[in-house]
Amino acid sequence: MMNIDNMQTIWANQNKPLQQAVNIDSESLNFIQSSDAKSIMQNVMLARIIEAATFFIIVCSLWLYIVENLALSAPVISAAILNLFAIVGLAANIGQIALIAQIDYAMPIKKVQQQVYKIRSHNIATAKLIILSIPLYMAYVFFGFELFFGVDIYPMMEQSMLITFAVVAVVMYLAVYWLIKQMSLEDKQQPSWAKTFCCFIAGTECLRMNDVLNSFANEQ
Amino acid sequence: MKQFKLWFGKTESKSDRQSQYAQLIEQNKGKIYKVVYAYCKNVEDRNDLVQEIKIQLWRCLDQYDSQYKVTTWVYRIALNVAISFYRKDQKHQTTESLPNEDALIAGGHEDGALVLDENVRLLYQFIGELKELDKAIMLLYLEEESHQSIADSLGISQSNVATKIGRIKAKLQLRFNTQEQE
Repeated sequence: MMNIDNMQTIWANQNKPLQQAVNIDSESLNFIQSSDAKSIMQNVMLARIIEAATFFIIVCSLWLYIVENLALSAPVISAAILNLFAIVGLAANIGQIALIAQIDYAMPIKKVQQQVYKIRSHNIATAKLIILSIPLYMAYVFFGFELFFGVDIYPMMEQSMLITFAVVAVVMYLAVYWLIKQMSLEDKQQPSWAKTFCCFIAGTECLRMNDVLNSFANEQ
Repeated sequence: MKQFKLWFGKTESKSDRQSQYAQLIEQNKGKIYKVVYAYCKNVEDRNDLVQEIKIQLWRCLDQYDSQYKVTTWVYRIALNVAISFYRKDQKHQTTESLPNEDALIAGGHEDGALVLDENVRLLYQFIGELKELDKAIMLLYLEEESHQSIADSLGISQSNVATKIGRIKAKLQLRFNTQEQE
């Protein structure tokens, strides 16, 4: 019968054969030392840089539109609202880039895994931002019509239509508020559909990382 | 190891850094593979994880903190990378089946043949069934790291480490007993 107290000795017995069996070829080491070797986090960083650049272009374009058409019109106000969301998106991506650059794998495991989780859960934060803008769907409509057809549809709309859109926006806001509250991997009472939804957005690896952090939390 | 520790981290030229790195990998390749075997069952994932650990060791080489043993430092980096490593194929991450000899000896093109002791093979299997944090604690414990060192590496208290080790050992003993009865 295996005596668990002898585990360390048994474990140490594999050291020599393992050390002898593993061959590290110098070619792979040379490749790692070259700039061609990209770590997983470098690929994530590249994705965030592309995302940040996209948000930056959107922010600049919207500002340009606002400045060129400065007036208290529905498309300009819509552009300003959409710009706010784009600025939040840009700031979040810049924060992510800084976070990735700061990761030091020699730090204590708990700290590193907290940082990695923040990076992995970025897609959930982005999805929340997009969902949060849904109640303001009229901003997309007003700005879209102006952008693609050069028409400001606000003056053409009847009072009853505007009231209907406003009521729909309020109802949507309540629905969005509820949905965003459900979209939290940290919440252990989260319904299974919300968990599936978060998994779909952030990936199962994000869920696994959340479990890792939970096991640290249980140690406190 | 002491000699290595003295000059490790003080890189003066590119070739110095490269030879330090080659020596670091050569001296710790067994430890790297232990972590990889414990965290990945899928051969493809294992190769990628080895590569990722080697990349991070190369990147962190200049930041080596001499207050830690080199092996502890290597273990910490390897565990951090292994825990946060993105597994491509979750379907192959089975924990029920007994890892066969191939799973433990193959490990990619860089491995030679290695036949493990049955108890070590079972240890890998049972460690593989543990939660990510427990795996890290157990691997550090098996490497005879002190409770203080394990606590430092994990960022939790020493008393938590002691409690955890006791629980994991009991769990592993139970698994060994069940395995023998089967």
